[in-house]
Amino acid sequence: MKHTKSAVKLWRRQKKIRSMIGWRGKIVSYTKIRSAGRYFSKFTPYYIVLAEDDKGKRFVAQLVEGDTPQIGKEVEAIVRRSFVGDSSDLVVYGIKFRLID
Amino acid sequence: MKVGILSLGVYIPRYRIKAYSIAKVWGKLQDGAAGQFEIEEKSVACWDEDSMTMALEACRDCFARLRSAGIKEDVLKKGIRRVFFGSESPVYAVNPTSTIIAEFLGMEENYLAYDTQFACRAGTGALISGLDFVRKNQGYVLITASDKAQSSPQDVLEYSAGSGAVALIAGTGKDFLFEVEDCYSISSDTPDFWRTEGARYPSHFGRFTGAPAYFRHVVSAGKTIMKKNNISPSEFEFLVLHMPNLKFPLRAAKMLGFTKKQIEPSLLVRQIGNCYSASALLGLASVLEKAKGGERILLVSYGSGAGSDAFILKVGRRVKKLRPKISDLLKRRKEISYTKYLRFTHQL
Amino acid sequence: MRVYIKDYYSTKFGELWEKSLGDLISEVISGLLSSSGIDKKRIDAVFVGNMLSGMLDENLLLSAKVNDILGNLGIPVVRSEAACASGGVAFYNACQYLRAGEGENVIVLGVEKMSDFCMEDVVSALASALAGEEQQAGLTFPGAYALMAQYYLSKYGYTEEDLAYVAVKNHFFADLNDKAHFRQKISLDDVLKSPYVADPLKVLDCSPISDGAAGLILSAERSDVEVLSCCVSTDTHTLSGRQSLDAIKSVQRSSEKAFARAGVQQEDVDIVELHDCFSIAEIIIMEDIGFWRKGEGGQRIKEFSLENPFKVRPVVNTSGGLKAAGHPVGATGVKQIGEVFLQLKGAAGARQVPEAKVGLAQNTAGSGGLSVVSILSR
Repeated sequence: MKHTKSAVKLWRRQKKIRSMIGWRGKIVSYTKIRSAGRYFSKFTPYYIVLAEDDKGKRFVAQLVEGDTPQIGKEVEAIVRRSFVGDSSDLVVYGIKFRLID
Repeated sequence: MKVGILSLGVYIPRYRIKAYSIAKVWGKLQDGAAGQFEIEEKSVACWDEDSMTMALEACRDCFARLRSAGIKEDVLKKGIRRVFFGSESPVYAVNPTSTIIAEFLGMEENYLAYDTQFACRAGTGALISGLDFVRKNQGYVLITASDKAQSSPQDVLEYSAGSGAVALIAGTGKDFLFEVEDCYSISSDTPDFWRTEGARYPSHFGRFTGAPAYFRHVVSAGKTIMKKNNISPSEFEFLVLHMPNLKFPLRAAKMLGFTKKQIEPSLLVRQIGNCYSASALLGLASVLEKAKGGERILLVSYGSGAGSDAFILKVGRRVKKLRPKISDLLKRRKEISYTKYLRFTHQL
Repeated sequence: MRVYIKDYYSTKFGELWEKSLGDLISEVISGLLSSSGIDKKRIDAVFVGNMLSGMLDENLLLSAKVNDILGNLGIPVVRSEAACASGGVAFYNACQYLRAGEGENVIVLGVEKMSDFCMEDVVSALASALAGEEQQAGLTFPGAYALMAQYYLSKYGYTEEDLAYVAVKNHFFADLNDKAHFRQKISLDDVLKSPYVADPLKVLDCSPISDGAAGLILSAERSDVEVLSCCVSTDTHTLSGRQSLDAIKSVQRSSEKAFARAGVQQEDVDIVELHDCFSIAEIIIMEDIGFWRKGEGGQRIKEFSLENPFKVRPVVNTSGGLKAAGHPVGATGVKQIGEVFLQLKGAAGARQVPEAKVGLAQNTAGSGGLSVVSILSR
């Protein structure tokens, strides 16, 4: 994903990420990614969840902390490292979901 | 002009590794290595967490409570003139973490920010600077102390090096979570614990970290601030000290003339290990869960290298509404194996 | 202007170590010219479909490359990219060109070379068909379809075993197709025992990584097989922007338009080639084209009979689909048209559908951001 090495794109993306922090939604669907491309392959398996808020807006993100998703459970959007890249690359932060107890 | 903390936010990562699990891997169960620091387990940040993400969570916690106490978040953010980030595990060697946090919080550009390092007193040092600023200029200061502690496998630090973060908003006025009545710092050049540029893990000089380092600075700062203000140990309800392990703060408490009862509520180190720059402040958060308005707390941090910051704090009347729910956070706990621990700290 | 298909040629699909991208293009062009007997000077234009030559091979301007292979005729060569529908869109562009009267005979060529590159790079490259923000989140291409599959199975009460019927059927047909990547039958058990790629999808629910090329000669001159319609529709890039997870709107819209334009209905169709990049896709697409009602796909797929494979109409994916014939991305859309062409010409050998008169080909891009539906008749 060479586009993630672009400092400019990361900088523009900050604003989008910021507006999502704290967003809440209910799980509509999920999958367990076992095989991924560069940068994510080190961290498989991980869950990807599609969640929907009460306005019908949907969003896709990883589920953190090894929790098991279930359709209907509520999640909150938080900031985490998207992946761990090469040591001289900028750190890429992104939105992930955490289950709300 | 009274200065104090309007809100204090905390974050502790969910994962824990037991000292027993570490000792078992290295064949140290017979040595008593697991027990020597009397730390049961320590908190472990996930592979996708770092000192920035944890500090951000602590900031969100901090602001959330202000919101529920009826304080307008936007107004407050606009009044923040200083943003400090204290850590010994910053995200970059060159590039400020403080501004990354400020951007994610939606702050505009009219603030001064810098990252500070001074081992485990990076956060409290910045707090003092923040208080100095608001005393003179009013407005608000955001201080974060956050560490994702790294330790070399098989080193003794492995049993204690934990992860956690605290965020504080300093200001003037009267509706404090706690007022800071006085602060006092001592500093010296004492090389007990260090990490050179490019080195992955810190180094330390064993027993030298004790009497000439931790105890000398903590006890001196604590005794001096009490003498300066003519307050004796019995007039404090609580004592909070930096916690590199369990033994050191217990012994220092005795040396300062405090009872075990006074220091007991702060001793999170048993459950989360040494969270470095967040350690003493997390201990403070734990104490606040039990404190009542008007009670006094003596807080003394310690940073290797070395220095101590001592504070006399008076708990505010709104403490029940403004204090963090740290025991709830501690309940969110997931135990992991040593191999998973290595995976999370990228050592595999 | 009306559009006809004169001829079709396909290379073998599979791991073609000895063949480069250029070799594959060359094989198709000479194969088409020799089997059709058309002089290359009568070709007015070439439409090329390819997804990954830029990202993986750092090789763009395929137009010039194709021109070289043609012997420097200097004719217009236009490349289309629409991820997995690159071939279908190339075909769409060729039809528009002929309908506009711009030329008489054109070649449509779909080509992909994937086995030259390491798996991690290919997986990352395929994920580029997804929206940037979803790639950023760690979603993979199989992951996107897995989200649809999980939703579909939960909503309609089907199981992973129901999905497995798709691969079994498509392998049955590929076994009869000498150009297919996998020429072996598999059982439900084989599918269910294969390792997970993105739950609930397993290795044998997923189309493979293949090399290959396919080509067609399209003409304004009357011929046996006519292209009654070729329609394209688009939808949102992100999966989270879609109206539903159990339907692909671009497939619904493009097939609606194609049926209307062609003047035929679902019950007229004898043979279908559709985009089974993953097992769930075949089920959802059959519903979205209107052959099955929404939600009954998991049940209807089981109507296929190994003993009597041509009984249930329409017969779907006699080439072996993407799953078993292989999925050299840019080539697939062209291969689908080609398979329908062979069926309508009565030239499909052991997999010939008796009395095939009307055929439909459907090519999807990514997780449904674009769909091309073409209806052909004899």
